[in-house]
Amino acid sequence: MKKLFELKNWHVKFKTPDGMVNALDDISISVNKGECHGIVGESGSGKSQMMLSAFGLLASNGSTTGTALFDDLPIEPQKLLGQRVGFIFQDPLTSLTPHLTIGQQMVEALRRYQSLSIADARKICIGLLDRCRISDSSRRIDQYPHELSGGMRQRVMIAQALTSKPDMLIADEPTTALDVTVQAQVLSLLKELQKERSMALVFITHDMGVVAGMADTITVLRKGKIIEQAPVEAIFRAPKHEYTKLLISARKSPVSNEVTAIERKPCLIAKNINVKFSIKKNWREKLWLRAVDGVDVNIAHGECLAVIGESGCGKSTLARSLIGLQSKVAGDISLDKEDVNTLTVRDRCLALQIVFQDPFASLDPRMTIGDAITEPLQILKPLLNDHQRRQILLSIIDEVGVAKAWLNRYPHELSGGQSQRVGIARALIVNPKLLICDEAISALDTTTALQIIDLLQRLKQDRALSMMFITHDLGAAFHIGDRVMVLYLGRIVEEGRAGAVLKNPCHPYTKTLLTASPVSDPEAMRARAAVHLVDDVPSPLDTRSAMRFLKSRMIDNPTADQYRPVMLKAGDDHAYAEFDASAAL
Amino acid sequence: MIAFIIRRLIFMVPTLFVVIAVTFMLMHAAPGGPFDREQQLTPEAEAELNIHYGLNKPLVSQFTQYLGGVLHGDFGPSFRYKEYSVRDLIGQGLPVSAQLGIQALMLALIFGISIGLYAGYNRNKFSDSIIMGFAMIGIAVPNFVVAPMLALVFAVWLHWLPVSGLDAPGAMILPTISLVLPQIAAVARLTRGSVIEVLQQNYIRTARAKAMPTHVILLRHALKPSLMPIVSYLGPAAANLLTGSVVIEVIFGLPGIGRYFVQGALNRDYTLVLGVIIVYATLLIVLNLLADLIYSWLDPRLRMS
Repeated sequence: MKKLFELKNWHVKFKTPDGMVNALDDISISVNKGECHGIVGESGSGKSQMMLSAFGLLASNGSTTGTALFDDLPIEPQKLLGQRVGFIFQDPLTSLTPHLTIGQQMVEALRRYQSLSIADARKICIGLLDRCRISDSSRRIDQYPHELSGGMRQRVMIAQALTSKPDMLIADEPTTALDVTVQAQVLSLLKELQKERSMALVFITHDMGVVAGMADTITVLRKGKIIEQAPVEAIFRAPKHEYTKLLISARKSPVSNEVTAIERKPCLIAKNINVKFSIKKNWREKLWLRAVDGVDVNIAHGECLAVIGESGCGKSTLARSLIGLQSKVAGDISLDKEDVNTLTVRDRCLALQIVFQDPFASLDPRMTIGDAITEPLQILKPLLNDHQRRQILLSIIDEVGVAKAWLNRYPHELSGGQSQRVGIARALIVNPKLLICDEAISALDTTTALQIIDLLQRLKQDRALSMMFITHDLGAAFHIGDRVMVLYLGRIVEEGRAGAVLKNPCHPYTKTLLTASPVSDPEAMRARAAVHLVDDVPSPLDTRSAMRFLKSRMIDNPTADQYRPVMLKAGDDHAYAEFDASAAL
Repeated sequence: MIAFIIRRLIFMVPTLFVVIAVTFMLMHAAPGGPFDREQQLTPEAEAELNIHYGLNKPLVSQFTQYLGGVLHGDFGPSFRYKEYSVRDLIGQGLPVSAQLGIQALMLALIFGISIGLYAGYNRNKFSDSIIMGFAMIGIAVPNFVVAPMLALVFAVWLHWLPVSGLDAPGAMILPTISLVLPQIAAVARLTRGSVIEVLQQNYIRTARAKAMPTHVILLRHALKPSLMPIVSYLGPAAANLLTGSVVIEVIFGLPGIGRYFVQGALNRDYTLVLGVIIVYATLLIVLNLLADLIYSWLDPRLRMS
């Protein structure tokens, strides 16, 4: 095979107010024609900068040294970009110009190097959108990026990159912002396009599972240095570096630690939780979005319920309803057999605590870490004196692994993992009966997320803590959850003991999630059937979309009250929602 | 969209009502009256004048009477310029002020945005520093300093342009320049800031990755989103131009409505001040509505379905 792209002894430096920062240090990689090269690393590893710098797209304070070759010639970005090299980026919403239509953006790229009339260019673009499975492409081409769903936007990005008929496509975390089912679609599209056009593909990601089925060769980067580079089979079969092993272990196939059934003493019981949001259709009419639609939650003492769902399934709204942060919640919630509505706000806060997704945004930037952790005590247990508070603080930070030295620092001085530990300490300092973790690991790097999961698991055992662990990451959910609950458009589609659900998933949505989530196993990933879906998650505003798995009972009226699927028993503590035999996602 | 405009126009009514009511009360709360002169009037004569202009009635009935007049387009008689009604005075002065204001606003936008775009693209380079230095001076030096200096240089010394009045050709040039300089500086600074921010956006990186030439990136991808803060500034800018023109019109002796505002307030010419206030308030409300419409043109995400 012939080499297409090569970096030799490549260095990237940034001039910052703190002096020169080495972003990449002595990097050498090569990509062959038609090959897929996976570049794996966490945030700050320099993985994106590598390809941006090679093609002159570095920020103005960056500088490079070393050799960058394309087709054995030194790279001249203006001769390659838009002609032989295409880029797609992580966040398709911010990476497409918001005030230009899809068509305008694609046509300008196409006409940059080809003399075409606008009408001809449009035709080619519609063809490319069709190829990227954008349904109704001749209408979509005149829409703005914000009018499309996340998955569709990413497929538009791909179509736009294809306008240049690239020999090499560089995909920078192309699926990170997407739901697992959508991710699976985009991955299978990229794979097909790569084969069909015998394109080289450089796939940059933090997720070993995602590249497992795509890449021929993998380069693992850490802190600007290559720590391992090998063919995909070799790297998964026999990773040499500890760090590579860690990255791989983060995406092993979900396993659940089967626990022997113990007697369940109910901690939190919520019945028929409903949360509706009104959305103005026009000045007179309102549409109702049922964010949470008749959900029952049942968590026993010392048990962890993992709530799994994709964006828009209502999982965060559910968490907020339980904790009392959501207004207009219908349904009964009881804690230790006491109706939460009879509790004072203080008692409710003492009993229920939450850890939020974004550790930085959830801490007051003007408060020291120590103050942030003890603030709940000051408000909820005002009778404690300073000495007692200090004692509690010291014991809790010891337990969750917050260093004493951090207490006088401010949130921006901590890393994501450290801030999340602070978030956990803040929640646990009042010794709550139930801890809700709302996507508490989603914003973290792979290795940090693993550490936080370990921490939560240890806390759960040591404290016999009841937990509700909300996530879109199946691996984490089955790893930590004793029981799991799968939400889809505000409703439960499957629920039960983690082991039972994993072994015998009954609902088609659960099955799809399980087959769509990436695992660190190249063979298994390659063997997966291509996901040929055109549609994304349907609009929760349309009551018909809730009947996606039970079309036979659907009333075809967007505002009508639909039939409610009943929960069927699949076994002891394992139930799933009714669905049509032919239903699939 | 049309429903939105109509709704906003309807909301204008209560806003204007509040503006009129507050100004009316404040004017009457200020000590003194329209007939206080150096030469003291006899109490009888003053009482007669008060009766003639209805100032002897209770304040509330004066107010309702005035409002009734406004609804018919009658802004009452001027207390000071006895031979004119307020409507006549504004009718004469407004075209001059409007010409001055619109010219200044257009120039401020055209020059301010171009300069800001250039400076933002050449951020932290020498040319950028020079431009921003001048912009700082432009903002810091008040126009009642700039205006006499310009008049001194270009009118008195060089005799290129008239010192004051509206009759000679080019009479509008110096007033417009002195009015617009600080505005150009302000718009340029705002534009520069937002251009710098927009150029760091992901979609600019995408455009660069598509090998789009610089002028396409700047004008097609970066310009529209960079204008958002300028549009927000449009309302305050118009207000600055209005209040600025009050000073400028007095300095250059232009027969606009700005000087009526100043003189009217000093003379307690209640109706004249109220009339000018109504004009200004309406203008500001309409401009703010315009700003909202421009927002949705700039950013399709704000367009109402």
